[in-house]
Amino acid sequence: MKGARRLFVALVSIALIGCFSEAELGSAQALCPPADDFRAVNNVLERRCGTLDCHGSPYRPFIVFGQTAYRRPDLSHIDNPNYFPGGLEATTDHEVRGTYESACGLEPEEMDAVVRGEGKAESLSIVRKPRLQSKHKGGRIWGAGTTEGDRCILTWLTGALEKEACKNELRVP
Amino acid sequence: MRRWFETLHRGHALVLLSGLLVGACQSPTNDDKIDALGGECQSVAESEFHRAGQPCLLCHDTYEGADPHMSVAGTIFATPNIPMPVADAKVTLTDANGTQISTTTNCIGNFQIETADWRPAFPLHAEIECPIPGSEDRRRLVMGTRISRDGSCAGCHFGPPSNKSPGWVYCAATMPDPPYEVDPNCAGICTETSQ
Ligand code: HEC
Ligand code: HEC
Repeated sequence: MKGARRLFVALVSIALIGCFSEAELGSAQALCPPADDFRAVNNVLERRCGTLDCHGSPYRPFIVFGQTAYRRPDLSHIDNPNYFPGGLEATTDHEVRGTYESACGLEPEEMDAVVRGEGKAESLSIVRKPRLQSKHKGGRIWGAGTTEGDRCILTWLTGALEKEACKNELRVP
Repeated sequence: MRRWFETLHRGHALVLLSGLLVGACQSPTNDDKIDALGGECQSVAESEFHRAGQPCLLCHDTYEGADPHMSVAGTIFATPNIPMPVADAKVTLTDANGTQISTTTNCIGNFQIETADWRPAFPLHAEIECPIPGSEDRRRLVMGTRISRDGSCAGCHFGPPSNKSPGWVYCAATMPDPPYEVDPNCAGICTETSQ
């Protein structure tokens, strides 16, 4: 009898877990650097990291969305004949948001610590990998502190985005 | 002309299906990807004419080791919606050191560059020059973004355009008049009817 009751409680709990809405689960969000102006960062990530054979792929933990990268599945664009990588539809806000969420979700605890000023931005994979300070299949994209792209990412993480640096990175093909 | 069209179409259905299968499991391995491509068409020899439209390097790389080893390979088609192969299209690749190499497609639209001839430094820049039926002119199409590491054009270019792919590499937005044609004696035409 006791066993049956326990089973009942367990089943009800499972059913309840299934009912939690996204908003309820999302309430335990980790902090992330500002989303405003992330488009400037997205432009750099799209160019340097977002080709379809690299992070422009749904199979990577870090996904880059955009006009020339992976296009974020989006019902409002389902009939848009230009919604494909290289299509005329420019990178959408929904895509910028997608890359932002992917970057934030990569190492949420570490990112949270960086935003709270308790961790170093230099310890995050999004900084270390392109510098090849950690193992990176895509090799070295830029050197530590030597390019505008590195600066663009770093200043975004520390909350004082230098949009000029992001723009300058795009001057190099 | 209809026959190969249907068979090629089926080939693409396979590639698309493989994409779905690979997408279904979160840790795609090369084996899964290769299995998903399906078997050889019995009427086409394992040769430069086989598996048009497929990611050649999945097999012709150090992983699977099928000879010859290739650094870059792919297939050029007529239009975004008509997967008719285009012969004699020139493909030019430039690597990160500025080294350039060109080759042309065979009658089933395939081309390949072997590692014995070229070991490029990625990223690569790609462009093609397509013949125009009934004309001496050629049409140049330049890829704006770079290839970061996948030497198979079909690694990115597969099926019609979708949110994951610009679609297969093609020569014209719509079929020109006169149209592209395939040599009926081409060794790459798959005549197999059941599979
Ligand atoms: C599913 C695996 C697979 C794919 C994909 C594939 N091939 Fe092959 N290919 C083979 C095998 C197996 C052979 C036989 C050679 C061997 O056994 O090493 C072969 C043989 C060849 C040969 C050598 C013929 C010879 O006599 O030396 C060429 C050239 C070739 N393929 C071109 C291509 C091209 C171009 C593509 C892409 C359009 C392609 N292959 C895609 C597996 C593949
Ligand atoms: C890493 C993924 C990737 C690979 C690999 C790749 N492409 Fe592309 N390609 C793209 C994307 C994305 C576009 C659309 C945006 C652009 O032009 O860069 C494109 C566009 C093109 C275009 C321009 C089409 C037009 O309408 O102007 C050509 C031509 C092309 N690719 C040829 C090739 C060839 C040939 C290969 C193989 C040697 C290849 N691509 C390999 C991603 C790729």
